[in-house]
Amino acid sequence: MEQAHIHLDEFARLKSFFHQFDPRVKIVSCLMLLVIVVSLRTLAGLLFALLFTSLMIFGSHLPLGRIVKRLGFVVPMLVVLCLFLPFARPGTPVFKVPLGILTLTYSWEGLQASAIFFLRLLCGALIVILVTFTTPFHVLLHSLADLRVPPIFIQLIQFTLRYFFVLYDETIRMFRARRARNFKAARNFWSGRTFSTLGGLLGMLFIRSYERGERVYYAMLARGFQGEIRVLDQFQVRPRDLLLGMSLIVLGVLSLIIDRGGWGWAHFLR
Amino acid sequence: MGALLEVENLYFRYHDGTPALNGISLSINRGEKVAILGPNGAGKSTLLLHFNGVYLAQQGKVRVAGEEITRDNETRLRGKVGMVFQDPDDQVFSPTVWDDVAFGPLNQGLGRKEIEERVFQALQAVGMWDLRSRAPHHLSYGQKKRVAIAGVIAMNPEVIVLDEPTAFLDPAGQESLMEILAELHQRGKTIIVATHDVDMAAEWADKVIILKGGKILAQGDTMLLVQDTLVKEAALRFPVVSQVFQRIPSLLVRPLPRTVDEAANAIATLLKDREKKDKHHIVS
Repeated sequence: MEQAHIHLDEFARLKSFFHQFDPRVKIVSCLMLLVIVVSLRTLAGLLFALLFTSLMIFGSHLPLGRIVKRLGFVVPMLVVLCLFLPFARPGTPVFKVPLGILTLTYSWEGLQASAIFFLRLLCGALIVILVTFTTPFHVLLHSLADLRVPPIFIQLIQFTLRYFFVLYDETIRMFRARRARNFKAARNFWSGRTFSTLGGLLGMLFIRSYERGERVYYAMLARGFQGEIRVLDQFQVRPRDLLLGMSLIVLGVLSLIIDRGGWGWAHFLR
Repeated sequence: MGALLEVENLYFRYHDGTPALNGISLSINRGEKVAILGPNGAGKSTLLLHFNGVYLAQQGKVRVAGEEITRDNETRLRGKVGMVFQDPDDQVFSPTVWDDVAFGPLNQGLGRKEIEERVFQALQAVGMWDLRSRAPHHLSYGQKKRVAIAGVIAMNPEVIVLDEPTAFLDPAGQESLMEILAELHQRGKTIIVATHDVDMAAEWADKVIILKGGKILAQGDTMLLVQDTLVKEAALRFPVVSQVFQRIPSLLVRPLPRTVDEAANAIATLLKDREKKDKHHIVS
């Protein structure tokens, strides 16, 4: 059982400057950083952003292997997208694919655009990973509540996470019980008996979850629930949190300056 | 001073018209240990849900400490009667153990210090303090059950109601549950338990209420559990200890012992009598 459980936040209890960062300031500053990073338009700016996000990940002692694994969900799709993007941009051709009446052009400009697109998303994903890997899940939910995210969204996430496993176990048990009475799914999904058995199972699952929902609600009422889930605010923003948050944003702005040709301005200052 | 919990002529029907309770009257005094028994579908759980106003009486009255439960005072009275549900997955819903135990006290509008203190005490009482920052879906069934109980203890109710507390627990889990109940009783709590576990009821309860078909079949002390006709009618069975004495009528121990202690005493007395008789024999 224990191993089947998915831990969303298994590295959230490590110790580093980023783990001790107040979660609310962390969320706000990283969100701003995220907005800045995805609006960068040149390789120089993006490479700078990538550099400091990677440094922050190094600094927070997260196991790199797991980060690469997590990126594995995003990157393959991204690569495919980026490989085909240059066909959609007009410009200096790198090579051409003649297809009868129309010719596809793989453009140099397109290739540049996809590199930028790729880097933007990579930086974005790294920032999100940094936040979710360094904050225990319930703390993340608490701080979202503190940041005035409507409670309905937070409760939705919270209950989904809590009852996903309960329903999953229930489904497994129902399947097992049917198998124990020699039910075998036919090769063809549309075979009548299989279809009706699986349909019944699904219907049963709906009814069971409805009834469980009712019981959960009664149990909440029994403990004095009056329509809103209250939480104790347990975080305190210290000056160092604000400092760290500010420096993240400054880094973002710095990359924006580099991005928009800020070298020229630096020249002016001299 | 009157009874702590009073039910007067209570009727309840589900939305589809199925009658669940048909005129129940009972009263429970402060500090009593009450076991409610009865076959499946007798209305035990429905009755329990009336005790803290999750269901409001459709007909009849439910009074807590002399105050009738109504829509206006239900939230306040829920602080007096705590309810532990049968399936801890229904009750323990928060992201961490600590948060879940704090849920009730937060709803009571207590201050931060008080809440932290209560959560600490409650988790200590059930031996789950060390696991306070775990997520409930990473706990075992018995652990979840204990968290559910802590969540109710933390509200500091006068009455604690438990639906099938021993169901699905392993023997050690059942034992630790009984220890928790004993501890709570010692602190002056009134405890009401709905159960199918006749042996547990015989060992533990001061008062037994037997339900059937939404009516009270009998209420009284644990002697009820060895009344032949009653036990048959309520689809119960004799406690194991009593069955042993019942099998050997020549033992002539009346009333039938219901707990292990009573049985041991009865046997010890029998042995002593026998010894006396033997000595008599030798002398004469």
